[in-house]
Amino acid sequence: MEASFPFGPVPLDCAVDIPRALRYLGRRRQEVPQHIGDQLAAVADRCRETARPRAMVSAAFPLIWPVRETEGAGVESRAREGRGLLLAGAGLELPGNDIARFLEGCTHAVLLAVTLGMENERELMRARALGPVQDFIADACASSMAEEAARAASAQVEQRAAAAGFRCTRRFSPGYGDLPLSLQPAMLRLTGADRMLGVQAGPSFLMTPMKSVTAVVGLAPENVEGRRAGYGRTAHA
Amino acid sequence: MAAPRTLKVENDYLAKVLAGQVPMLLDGGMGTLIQEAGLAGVHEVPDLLNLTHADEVCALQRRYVEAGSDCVTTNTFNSNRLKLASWGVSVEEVYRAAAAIARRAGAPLIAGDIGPTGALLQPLGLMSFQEAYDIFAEQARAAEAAGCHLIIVETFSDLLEAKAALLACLECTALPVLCTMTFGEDGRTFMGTTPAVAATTLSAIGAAAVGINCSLGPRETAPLAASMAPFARCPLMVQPNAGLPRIASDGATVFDVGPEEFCQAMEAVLDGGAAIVGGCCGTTPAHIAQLRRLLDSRPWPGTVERYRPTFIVSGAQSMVQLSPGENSIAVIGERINPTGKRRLKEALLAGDFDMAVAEGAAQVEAGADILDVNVGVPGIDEATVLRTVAQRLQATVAVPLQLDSSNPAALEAACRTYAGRPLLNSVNGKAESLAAVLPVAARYGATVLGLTLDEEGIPSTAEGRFSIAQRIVEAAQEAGIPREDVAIDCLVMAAATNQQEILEILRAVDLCKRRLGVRTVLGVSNVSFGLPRRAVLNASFLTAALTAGLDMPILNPLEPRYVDALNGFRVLNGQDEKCLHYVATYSGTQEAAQFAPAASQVAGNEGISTAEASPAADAPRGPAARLLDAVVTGRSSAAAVAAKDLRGEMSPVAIAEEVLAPALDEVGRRYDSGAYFLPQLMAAAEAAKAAFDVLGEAAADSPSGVSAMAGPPIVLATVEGDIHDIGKNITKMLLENYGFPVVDLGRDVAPRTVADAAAAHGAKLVGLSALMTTTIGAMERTIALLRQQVPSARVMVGGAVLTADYAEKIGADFYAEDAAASVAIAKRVL
Repeated sequence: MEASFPFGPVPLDCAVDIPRALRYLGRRRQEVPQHIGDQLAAVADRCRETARPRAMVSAAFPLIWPVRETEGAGVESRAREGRGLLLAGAGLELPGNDIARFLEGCTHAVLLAVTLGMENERELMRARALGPVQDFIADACASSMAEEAARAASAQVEQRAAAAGFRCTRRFSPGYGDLPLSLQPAMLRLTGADRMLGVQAGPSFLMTPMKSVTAVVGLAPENVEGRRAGYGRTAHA
Repeated sequence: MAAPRTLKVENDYLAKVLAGQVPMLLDGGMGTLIQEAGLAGVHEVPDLLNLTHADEVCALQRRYVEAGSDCVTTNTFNSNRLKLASWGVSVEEVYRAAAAIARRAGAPLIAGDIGPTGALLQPLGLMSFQEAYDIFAEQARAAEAAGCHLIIVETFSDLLEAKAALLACLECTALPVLCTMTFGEDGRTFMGTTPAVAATTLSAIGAAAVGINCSLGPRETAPLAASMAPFARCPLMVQPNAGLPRIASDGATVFDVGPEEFCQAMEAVLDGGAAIVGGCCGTTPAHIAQLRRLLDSRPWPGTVERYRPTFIVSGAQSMVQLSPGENSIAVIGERINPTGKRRLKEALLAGDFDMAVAEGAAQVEAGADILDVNVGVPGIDEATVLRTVAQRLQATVAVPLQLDSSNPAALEAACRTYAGRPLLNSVNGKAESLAAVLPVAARYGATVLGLTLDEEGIPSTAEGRFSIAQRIVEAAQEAGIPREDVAIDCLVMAAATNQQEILEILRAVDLCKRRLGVRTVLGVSNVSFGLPRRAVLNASFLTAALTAGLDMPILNPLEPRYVDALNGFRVLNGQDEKCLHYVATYSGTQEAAQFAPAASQVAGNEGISTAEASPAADAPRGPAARLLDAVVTGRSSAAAVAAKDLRGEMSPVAIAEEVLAPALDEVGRRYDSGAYFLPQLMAAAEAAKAAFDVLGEAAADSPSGVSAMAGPPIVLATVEGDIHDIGKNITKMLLENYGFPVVDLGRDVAPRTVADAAAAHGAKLVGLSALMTTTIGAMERTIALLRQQVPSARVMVGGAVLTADYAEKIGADFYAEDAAASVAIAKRVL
């Protein structure tokens, strides 16, 4: 990655994705009646007004791969056998097969955390108090915006990586596949999202504000091709 | 109940600083120097260096003393019991060592440092206010015992947590407390607090100085600090970072603003009113030395009064301010009050606060600027309920609250854990009331509403009311509450019984405003008591009272006539600049009076949607057709109006069976055929509910409508570990609208709780929801326990990650693909 980069909350340019929100609401081919459309537009406005989409991005941590039995020899292979992938310098192990497959071919990984913020959280509580329809629509709007925020943050990581001659995988979050949710506190600590964005993980590792995302993004050198460039497929592929 | 406060400032120089007579220079960043000295990785909690590397820490702090700091902050930012727990050292030990180091370094004054706990407070997080308070109290006592001259409470983002820390320090020590919060580039903490709200809240509670530290560089901080000054009743304090941080290629955090540039920008901070300055992350002894030179070279202006006395009621994010000489009005919403509201009363007694919160949200939607919160029901634990409802409201809406109780202990309980400055409703001219309520307002920096009544009752003349108001203002000032924090309610009488007093009340409002300079409040709707079409008279009285100088009408903001009067008056008094709001509200609309009353009646369950308040096409048709149409198209207000009209023609049961049931069936058909999608189905259910509510009122029937079936309820829950409950809530709504009684256990519900509830209610059907793969295990455990303990109950499951196969695998009887499917299952089972 590049020599140095700003550290701190990154404001993200993103909005509610109305078609996506409609998909979350279960719409397939139906006409959207005007009063629902109006309500959706008004709720989307409130969502935009209350959201403060911010990201925190960690440094790029080198990946230390577990040595496979076939490749390994002696003490070292036994020591790492059956263990997960390590983020060097972060003291974090990424357990499970899925993340290992996802990051195949990568030499580094970046952690990112994104949130719409506490005021949007309050807006969601308000919508809930106004009734189930309002609640459902507000949640769909905020979810679509959180997805947009995560994309915007990924785009920044990609830009930074490209400048340093790396390609990025897509995002992989705790809770996907067999990557445990229990990583959440460490993800928040390592990105600084706990201190800088106020994102907290509760006892069952769910985050507050709810509309927050943490993810791992793998980095592979530009010249690594094909499957070796990351099971998760590079974002540009 | 809070401990009495004692404040002792023995150091003359510090006393002058706190009186705003001289400036004070603090130190700079500690983390930066620790990193430079290669000590950063020694401990996970750097405060432990005080115990293991005392000489090294002392050498670092001596550099600040040599640079000219008047006060050195102890290296104890993290020294609370949560963070020290796993290291086997006590809070006292660390503070004792840290203060000794600062003393040895030659610090003229020593400030005991207290940072946030790192945990999130209830209701958003798990930590209670009292737990946070206890943690800070332990630190505060340790700092005082260690010989600190003052305490700095710093880098807070949550106003409520800052308040807990400030109160703990004020109540458990005699030390002055300096209090700073940290703001993002958009001028808000990540919890949404603005500098002005922080300044007004913390200084009114009794902080010796308030201000800003960390996060931003001096250039970005200057305007934020200046925006604090008019709201701070104490000196202003600023400790910026040396610019915005960067991660260097070696992984170290670096700051780019050097001493020269830092001090250039600090000039603007000083110009903005800061009197206590220093640095935070990235600043070094070189920055502080340069700042010393700057302070010494600037002629100190002496006490410049930047504080602007203003009546303020604030929440954690926003505030209502009524400045003298400005013609603004603020509406206090009155609907969170169980008097005359049977369902709200029952809900509060049952510990169900959702309805109170819904009333709050609906009023804010309708334009309330402040919400009155009254939970006075005989037999209720008013202190606990008022506090809890206020906290729930603060997590839901941003507007400030008026805490309404005749019980001073309840006012204090709610006030103590309130984030911001509430308005206390109320005190009156009786000696007993003044003695009980004013100290609460003074202790927590609340504003207070004085009622013009005393031991003799309510005077009938304007002068009589004025004279009680005057006594209240004087007593408040004696109790340490400045005049600007008092509002007066001259008490509205019913025109039906006290007609001759009405104009006296208006004259009293004018007298109080002009001669006492205080803000005025009136409970508008009392005027029409005992008369028909109350809204008509209330709206007239409202306009007259506003003209007489009323600042804060207490009323039902969901009543369109009041909204119209307020919108009109805000044009007349200039508050609605260029009539923008008026035009936006009324442009292109027609007289809507005929729909208005019903809209206000159903609005407890929904906001008024202007989009649906134009059913012009409905007008010529009969009410049955209109009701059918309103439900099928999902328009709640129109459904309520039609149901009300239809009541004259049909019995509630006939309306339910002949109109509402066919309407819901039609909606169900449209959903099944794919013509409707889920929000339409839900909107129809809400419209049906609005109609049921109207019928229920007429029949004084069960709250959930006339069609509720008898028999055991369906028990619903989102399983343990999962907080996603929208799907479960939709299911509940649809089941109830098809007449099935439902017991909703909420989200994150333990298996044992589900089994116990199912057994207690004799449930034949239990619905479980899970949205995450990780919580399916909890669902499986819940089903297993149900099989054991309530074998007769059938279990349906649903949620995004489930499939029919998976549902079978974990032992469920039914898989509900969506909320509508659960209705079909319920019909089959029950």
